Amino acid sequence: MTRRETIVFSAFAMSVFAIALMGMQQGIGRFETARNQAVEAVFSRLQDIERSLERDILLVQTSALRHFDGLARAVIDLRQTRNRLKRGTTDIVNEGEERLRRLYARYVGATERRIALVERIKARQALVSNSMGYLPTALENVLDTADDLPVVESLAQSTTRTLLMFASAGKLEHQNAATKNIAELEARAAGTRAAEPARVLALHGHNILAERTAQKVEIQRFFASESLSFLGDLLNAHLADYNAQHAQGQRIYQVFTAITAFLVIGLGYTLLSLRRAAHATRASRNQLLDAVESVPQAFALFDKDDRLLVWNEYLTEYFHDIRDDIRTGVTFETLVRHAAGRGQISDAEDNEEAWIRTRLARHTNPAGPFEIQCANGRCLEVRERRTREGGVVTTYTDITDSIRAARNLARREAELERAQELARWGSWAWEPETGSYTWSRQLYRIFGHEPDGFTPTLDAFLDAVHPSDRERVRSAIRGAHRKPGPRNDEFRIIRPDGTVCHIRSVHEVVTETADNPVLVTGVAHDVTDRKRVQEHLNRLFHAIEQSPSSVIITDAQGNIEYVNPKFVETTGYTPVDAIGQNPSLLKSGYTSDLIYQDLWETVSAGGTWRGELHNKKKDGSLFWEDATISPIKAPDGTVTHILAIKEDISVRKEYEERLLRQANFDELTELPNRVLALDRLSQALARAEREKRIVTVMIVNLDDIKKINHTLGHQAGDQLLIEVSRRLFTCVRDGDTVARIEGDQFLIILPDLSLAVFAEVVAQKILSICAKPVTLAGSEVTVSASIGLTVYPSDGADPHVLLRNAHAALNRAKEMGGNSYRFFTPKMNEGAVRRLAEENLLRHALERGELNLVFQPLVDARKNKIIGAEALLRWTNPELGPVSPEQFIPMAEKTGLIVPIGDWVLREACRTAKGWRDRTGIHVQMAVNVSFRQFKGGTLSETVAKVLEETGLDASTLELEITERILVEEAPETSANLKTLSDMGIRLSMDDFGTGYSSLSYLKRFPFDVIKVDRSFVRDVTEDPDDAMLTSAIIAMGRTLGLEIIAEGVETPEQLGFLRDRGCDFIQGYYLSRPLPADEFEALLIKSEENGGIRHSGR
Amino acid sequence: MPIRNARTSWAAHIRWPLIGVFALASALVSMSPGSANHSDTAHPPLDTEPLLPIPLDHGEDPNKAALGGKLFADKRLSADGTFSCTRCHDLKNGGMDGLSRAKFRDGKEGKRNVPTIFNNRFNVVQVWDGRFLNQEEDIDATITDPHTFANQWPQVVARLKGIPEYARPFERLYQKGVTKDAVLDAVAIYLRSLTTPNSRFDRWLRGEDDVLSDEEKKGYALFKSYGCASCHQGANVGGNLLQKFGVMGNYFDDQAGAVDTDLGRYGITGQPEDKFVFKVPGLRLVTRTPPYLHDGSVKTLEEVIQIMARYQLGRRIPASDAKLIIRFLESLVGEYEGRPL
Repeated sequence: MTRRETIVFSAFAMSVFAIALMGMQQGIGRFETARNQAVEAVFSRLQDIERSLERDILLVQTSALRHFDGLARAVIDLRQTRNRLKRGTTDIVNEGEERLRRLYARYVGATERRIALVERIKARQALVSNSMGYLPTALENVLDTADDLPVVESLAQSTTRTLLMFASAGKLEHQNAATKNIAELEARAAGTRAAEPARVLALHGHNILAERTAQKVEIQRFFASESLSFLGDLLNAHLADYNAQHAQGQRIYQVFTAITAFLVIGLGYTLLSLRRAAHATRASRNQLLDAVESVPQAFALFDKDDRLLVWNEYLTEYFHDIRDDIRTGVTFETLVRHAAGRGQISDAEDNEEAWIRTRLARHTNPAGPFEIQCANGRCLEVRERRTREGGVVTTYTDITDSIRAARNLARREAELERAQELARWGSWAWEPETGSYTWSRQLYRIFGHEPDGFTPTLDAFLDAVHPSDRERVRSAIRGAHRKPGPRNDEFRIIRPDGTVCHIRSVHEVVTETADNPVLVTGVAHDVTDRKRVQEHLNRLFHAIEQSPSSVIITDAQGNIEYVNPKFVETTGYTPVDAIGQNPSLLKSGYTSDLIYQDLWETVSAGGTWRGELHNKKKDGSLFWEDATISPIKAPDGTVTHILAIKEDISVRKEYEERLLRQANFDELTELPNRVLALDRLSQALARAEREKRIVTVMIVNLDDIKKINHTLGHQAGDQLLIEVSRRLFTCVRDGDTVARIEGDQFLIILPDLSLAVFAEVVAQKILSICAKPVTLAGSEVTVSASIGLTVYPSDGADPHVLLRNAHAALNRAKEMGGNSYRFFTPKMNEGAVRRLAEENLLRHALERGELNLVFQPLVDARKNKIIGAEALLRWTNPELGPVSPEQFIPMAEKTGLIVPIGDWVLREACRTAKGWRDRTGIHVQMAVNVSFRQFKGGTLSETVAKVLEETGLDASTLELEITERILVEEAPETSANLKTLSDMGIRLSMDDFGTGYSSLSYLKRFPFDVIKVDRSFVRDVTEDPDDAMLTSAIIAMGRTLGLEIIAEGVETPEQLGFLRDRGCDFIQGYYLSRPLPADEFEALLIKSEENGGIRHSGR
Repeated sequence: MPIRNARTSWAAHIRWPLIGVFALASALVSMSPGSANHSDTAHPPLDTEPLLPIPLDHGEDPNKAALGGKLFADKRLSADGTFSCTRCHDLKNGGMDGLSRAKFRDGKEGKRNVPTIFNNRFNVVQVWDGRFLNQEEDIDATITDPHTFANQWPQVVARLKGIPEYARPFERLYQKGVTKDAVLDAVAIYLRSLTTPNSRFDRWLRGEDDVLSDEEKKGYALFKSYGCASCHQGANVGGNLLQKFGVMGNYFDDQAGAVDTDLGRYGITGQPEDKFVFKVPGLRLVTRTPPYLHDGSVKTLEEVIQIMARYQLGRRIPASDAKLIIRFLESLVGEYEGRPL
């Protein structure tokens, strides 16, 4: 391979190599980008986890967290995700620089401190919720033992109340009140029976106070954690690192590109230069001779044998004493020896031979210039050089004057140098004419050079100037002479060691004529340190000016000296407004004076105060600030200023408050949400269990709200929900709960109903009130609702079961087409609907004349003679047909309708009896049933008296049938009523005897005349020996007490025979006659009178 | 729902699809967590109960879990081939050894009771004093613990590399084959896969009303109302927080030397607040894992309930109520690998 081929080949190989490297570099770059995305994902995940921790801790504060799985998961996640920053492909810690390791460790430390706080907060929450849960029981125990101690009772109650308020809202006033209550409770209960329960209540109370208070501090510390900002620092450091690496990669890439380009160009150049080489050898010699005479110095050319060849006039002038020797062919040695021998050379005076030897040696091997001192005082500078032909050229320059000047200058320079050193000023001079450029030693120092190792040139100087300043400096120097007078300038230089210095320079132009500069001189001063301080101050000032936090600086007395723009933006006070004022300018009156006191005490004592202030802006609006206030101290420790850094946290505060509310209330309607509703339901169930009451739960669902959303928009839907929630409130009483548990579902808890049936009234009310039109978005809309009802305890004892049942009932109501309600169990459900329909109809039955009376004969079996009639109420409705009394009478009793109906029955029966009597002359006893409700209010006897008077019926003809229930209730008015009625001559009969409490004492205490044996005994009297025995006993007992006994429900001759055998003569039943309308009864009465008895229907 | 201001029909037709899009968008927006807008919940939302059901699927990589499971039972992980994880954590015995205190290789006793290995994934930190932040740290420490495995990682890795039944699956599942990190990962995944889902109680929480007896339901109600559920909550009925043992009194002082005083987490952190603080144990398998407390000093659930009532709750629980609570605890026992424990 020839040399040429070698070059070509290696250049080619290098190109290929370089291109391959470029490709690799790009691949690495792409991998780096993907990796960096993964790293950034880890960072964003970490941020998310910490945010979720913060959210959950806020929830802990509201006691809305039922379990800690979410928090535990977040902690595990945080640690796991954090570890990814030092493992696998997302490892930035082990791969990165020391700084990253330090920042990572700092972040880990902060998160671990945060996690430790989370753990404490959790543990305390568990203790608080335990004690909270125990409070009701503890209170009950105190109340149980403090019957005769009303003060203790009320203290225990207020202790519990203040504790609950403190635990839910965390307010200081509640804490103080609770502390006070507890202390007083313990003191008052001491020595009484309630002492021990009070101690337990106090123990749990103290526990709640202590744990909550400590927890509050921990929560504050948790939120003050810097972990997120440390995470940000870590991310920034990583990105800087990444960018730097990336930049380095770019640089390597560029170098490779350059190498490649160089190699390709070099290849071509090499080929070209190989061809040119041959032509480059011819040179000219004569030019030298032409130049000789024009040189302003002594000149001599010696050939290779050291014989003089060429010289000029100056040589003979300088060496005048040996001018005769100067001729062609004389050797250099001869000339030197003659010159020295004639005493022409001062240097040679001491040791002539040595000087000559040195001079000859120098001549043979020329090096740098040297000086010769001549006897005539002249000083010559000698320069020698070998020629190509092996000869030597020697020049002599007269430097006598310049040396003298230089010596003076040197002395002055030394002095100047010293001065500069002291002043740290360096100086320079530039002669445009000669290009000479000189530096003082101090300037070398400033530029970071050793005087020996560096030749100052203007270009070298400009190279040292920072690239950004270079052009400016260059044109300033070059253009200097155009503007006479000193000029100031500042620029940066880069020293060889890479440090950047700030230079302040003053230069001046010395001119001979107007625009002919002979000298530019200048001084330069290293102002880096001053500059650094200045820049540092500037940076700090800008940082404060542009800080996202409000900054206030006051003097030690608290007079504002400075406020930053953020302060102006936040508060609306301009610096003019604020400076000279006291920060109390922002006082809103909502921050406790204790807090200000604490603030001043802390700061005066030299400490840093941190806290939250509720302040007022210039326009009067309130806002929350998180303030850090600390004294600024002089080196001797005295406080000169006070610094306040404040952040507007109104948004966070609002967020916290909203979260607190959100945890328990629905934002739109401001009703309790599902969480709170379930809580209330649990409480209602607990109370109902103690008081043996029922709780009705209903879920109200708006039919077709989706259509409203679709047609009129969500805003209209929201408006509807608000309107409905407002209407629902009008349907319930105080103490009932209306909650919004889902989008269009409301939960209503009725904890205070004695009967489930009343819930239907509420449900009915809700349906009708929901059906009223609403104006939404300009359209009048009517909606309907569906309701699912369920009842504790019959349908379930657990809130969730009840809710589920209510949902099931709701679904059924919806299946039925909406606009209706359903009870949970199908049976109850159907019954309830029918009952309600009937009840509505019953209301109108009286006025529409749908009620009528039928009369069943009472027969004296022995005489076979009708002695009386029992008036029985019948209801025939056009829609329902005949309705059984067993169905509608209890309903009438429940709703109170029985009172007007009962009055009507009484009047109608008396009227009928009077009619019979008047028309037939036969005495027929008229028995009328009286409901317990008619006894309430104590006006029954008055009503009866009024009716008798109206109808003209003889009191002794009327018999009132009373059930045992009236007697069991033992209302004071009952006894008086019965007595009055009896005194009026009205007969009283005890109805349904044997079914209820059947206490003999009633029969003795109240003035009864008749016992009616219940039909249930009579029915089985011939089959069931027990019933037979009981019936016999009742009859025997009644007879002993001198009461008349009537057996009801006699349907067979066997029953009749049995009763008659036992001495019961008065019979009522289908065997004798079914109940008859008044006219038929009258006909039967007449017929039986004529026939001397009635015909048994059974025959 | 009659709307009186009716639009002309063509306008309505054009608008419907748009409205549909808006409705969908707003539905998506409103489905943020916390708002709990489920439209078809005939069932109570679980998050209002303090206890949660254990997810039916643990979600771990089955291949790595299987590999880890093999290591869990393998004595070759210990230096002299005599010790395996199952020696103390017997899955057939509720995931522990049934002894009061851990038994070391030399026959000596440790100072604490071996906790069950089941459901460890729900624990915020591992072991009684939370010394290990995760399963990997636990395994790492155990392998090199002179009392038990007494091994060194280079030896463990070298040994496993020499066993084809390990070397091959590790090569398949892990980029770098058998390494310390890979071994830790496999065993940790196996540990996290040990859950006991589908207990009767969980099924009840998920809506099957008949699976719990009235007594068990009553027991659960008592468990909540006495305050047990303040600490013992979540899927593992505990395990997710640390708590001081002896909130209402110093347990150890009262025992007057009958049991060794154990300062708990204080031994790790040295923080005064951490004295007597322990991880609240999960109660999922509590009826299967006597004896009780950190030192296994209590033999029966009846006794331990009384201790908890006295020292944690500051109240008394009548024996009849404690019995009902135990009934409830029994319903917490779930299944492992589809079989009841």
